[in-house]
Amino acid sequence: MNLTRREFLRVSTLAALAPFTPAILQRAALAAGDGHNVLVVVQLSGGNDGLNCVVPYADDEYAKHRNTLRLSAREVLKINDQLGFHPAMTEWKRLFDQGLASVVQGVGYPKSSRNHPEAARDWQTACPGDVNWPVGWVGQFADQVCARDSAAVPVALITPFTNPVALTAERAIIPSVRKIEDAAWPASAPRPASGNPLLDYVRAASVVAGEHSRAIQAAASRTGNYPATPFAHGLHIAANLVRADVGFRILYLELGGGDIGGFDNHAGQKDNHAALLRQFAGGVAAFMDDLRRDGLVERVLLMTISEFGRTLTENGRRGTDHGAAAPVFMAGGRLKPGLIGAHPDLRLLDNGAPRHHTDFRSVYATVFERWLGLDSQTILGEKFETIDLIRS
Amino acid sequence: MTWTPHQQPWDRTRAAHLFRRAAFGANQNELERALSDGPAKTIDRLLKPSADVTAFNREQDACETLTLPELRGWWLRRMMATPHPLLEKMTLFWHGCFGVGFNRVNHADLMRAHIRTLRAHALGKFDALLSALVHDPALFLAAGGADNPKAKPNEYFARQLLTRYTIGDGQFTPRDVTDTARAFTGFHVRGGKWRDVPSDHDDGPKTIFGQTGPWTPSDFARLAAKQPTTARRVVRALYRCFISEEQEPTDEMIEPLVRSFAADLDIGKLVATMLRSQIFFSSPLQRVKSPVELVIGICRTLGVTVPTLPLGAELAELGQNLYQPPTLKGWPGGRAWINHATIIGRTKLVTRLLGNKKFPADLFDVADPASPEFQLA
Repeated sequence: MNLTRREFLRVSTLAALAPFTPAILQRAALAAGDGHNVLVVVQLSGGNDGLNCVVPYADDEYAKHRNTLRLSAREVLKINDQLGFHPAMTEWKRLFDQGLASVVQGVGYPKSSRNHPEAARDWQTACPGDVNWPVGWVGQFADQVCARDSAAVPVALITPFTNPVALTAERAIIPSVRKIEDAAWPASAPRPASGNPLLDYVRAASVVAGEHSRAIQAAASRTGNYPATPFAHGLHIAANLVRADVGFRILYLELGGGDIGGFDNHAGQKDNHAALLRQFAGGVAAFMDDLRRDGLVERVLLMTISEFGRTLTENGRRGTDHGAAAPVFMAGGRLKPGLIGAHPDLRLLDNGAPRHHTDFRSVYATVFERWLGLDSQTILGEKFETIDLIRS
Repeated sequence: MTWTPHQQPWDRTRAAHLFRRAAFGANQNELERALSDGPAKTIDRLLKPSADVTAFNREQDACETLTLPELRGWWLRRMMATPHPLLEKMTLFWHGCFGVGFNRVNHADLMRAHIRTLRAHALGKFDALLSALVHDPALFLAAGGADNPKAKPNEYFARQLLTRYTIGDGQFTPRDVTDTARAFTGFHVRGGKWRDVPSDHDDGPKTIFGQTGPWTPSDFARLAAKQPTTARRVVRALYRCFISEEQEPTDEMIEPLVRSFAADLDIGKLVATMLRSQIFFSSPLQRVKSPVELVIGICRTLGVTVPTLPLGAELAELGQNLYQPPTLKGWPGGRAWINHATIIGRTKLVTRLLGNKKFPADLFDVADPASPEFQLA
């Protein structure tokens, strides 16, 4: 059998789940109501221009190559004497100054693809270059924590958005949540054992669904102060699901749509990118404020993924083309604040775009191990160095 | 004992059970007719209806348009209307077994052809089914078999053919992998089209499952179909489909079926043996209805149709996206259908489909279709 190392790890982990659950997984698989950590993943579809998010405003190379999109020292929200955030990210800068946000710089992967579906696949399967790898990194997480007899739902997709590769799972059925009302469900009382374990399983699932539903409705009665954008609406749902504490460990959202109006700004980037960053920053800040009010901010870590960054040089249409490394944005109550890792050196480019120094799978390994309490190797297939970005 | 024909008194409960498992439920007329005909004749008719199924399916084929949501919708319509529900149930069964999905295939015409191939052989001969599939571009694309150059035989594809589709994990030698890969050289899929490049065929002798010859894909299908380990897997999968998702049968228990299936490869006969058996009638509520079974069951029982385009999308959210099984392993089924979210969606869908319609109290054989019992078959 020529199993790849990764296949071997998966097979052996799933086999190990059958008779008994390893302690490390038990921790991750604990049921609702245990106040566990939640990871919120925001997919910035289309390839986000990292250089105009964390702007090297003092760097001549930046100034030289960005003719129409250049953000000047006067415009940026200064982090230090070299770097500043995009001016549309005022709310993000506030979180950053409050110690509720950080940025991992220079994230990418070796021989990265510059083709949207390929690069998105690479990031979302965490198995770059293997077109046959069948499942997503979040889907695999769901499969691992859903033991055979568990009706738990550890992951939810917050829509409107369909079928990201990241959520492809072999076994777990991951719900799409459009609005909180979808979770409305009458309470039912537990019944004595019927003698049919399958029937008891379905009955128990129904009873627990009723309990969760009540918790979700109660949580949703709190109103938050969110901007009127679909993205912020999604984060409001996410906050309510965290508040309800019904066992979700990963919530997945998307911003940008990856199409016209998304992050793929080949032409006329300036206003569109600013609008997206304003939505992003405003939504995340409202989300953090909402969680903080209820003392939940320490239970949540939000991170972004995007298939690639963009080229340093503009393309003559007031836009940028597909690049390589880009920053990963993090928000939450237990982050080590500030910038993590160096800003990519613009004199050492990867085919015209910032070069990565941190593999995105190191970021995944970090959130799996240090945030979700899971052995990352069974999902990622090899050991990736974790990043020191979470306070214990 | 297990597989001897059932002898208990024939009643409404048993007839309803038969139709839930072997069709998508029964309406009032079908149930009454089954009660007067008795089990043997009813099962015969489920396997071979008197209606002109070929004509029905030809009409349906002509309707199928080439986008994924439309294909999904047309298939659901076909399931609601067909005079041969067992054939659709088996087509769906094979769809899950082979796990060919649009996300890998990316050509709606190939997906349409794939499902038609499954339907054409669903209750026929297993070697014919396998032989058709080893020439089916959709399966090649889904299983990583688009390229099979003689210079570098595609062992990944060969392993998928062996582990997923035939004899199963741990049942083959490294030689089986290399020589299966060699048997497929020269058969490619390019731009969604089948490409047979004779000069790229490896015509040399190959040894697969211990037998040596200048094997081609058809030979592989023929040899693999006859392996008892393949037969055992088919029997086990059908056992899950028709008898129980809760109890794994022992090898000993299924041995008589494995032996006779390995000898004649007759899928219809194997299904018939299961449906007539003692164990079939003594194992109610041992399966979870798949989302498709749940919905089509209500529609057929009540004799109603609903718009199938939106329905296809709803079923996808409940975990069963037709033309798009999650991976090559298909839908895991059983308890995996039910979690704390899907139980809400499934029950709401049931309640909505039933609406305010009046139906006889015993039509569904369950007092309350919104109850957990109704989720089972």
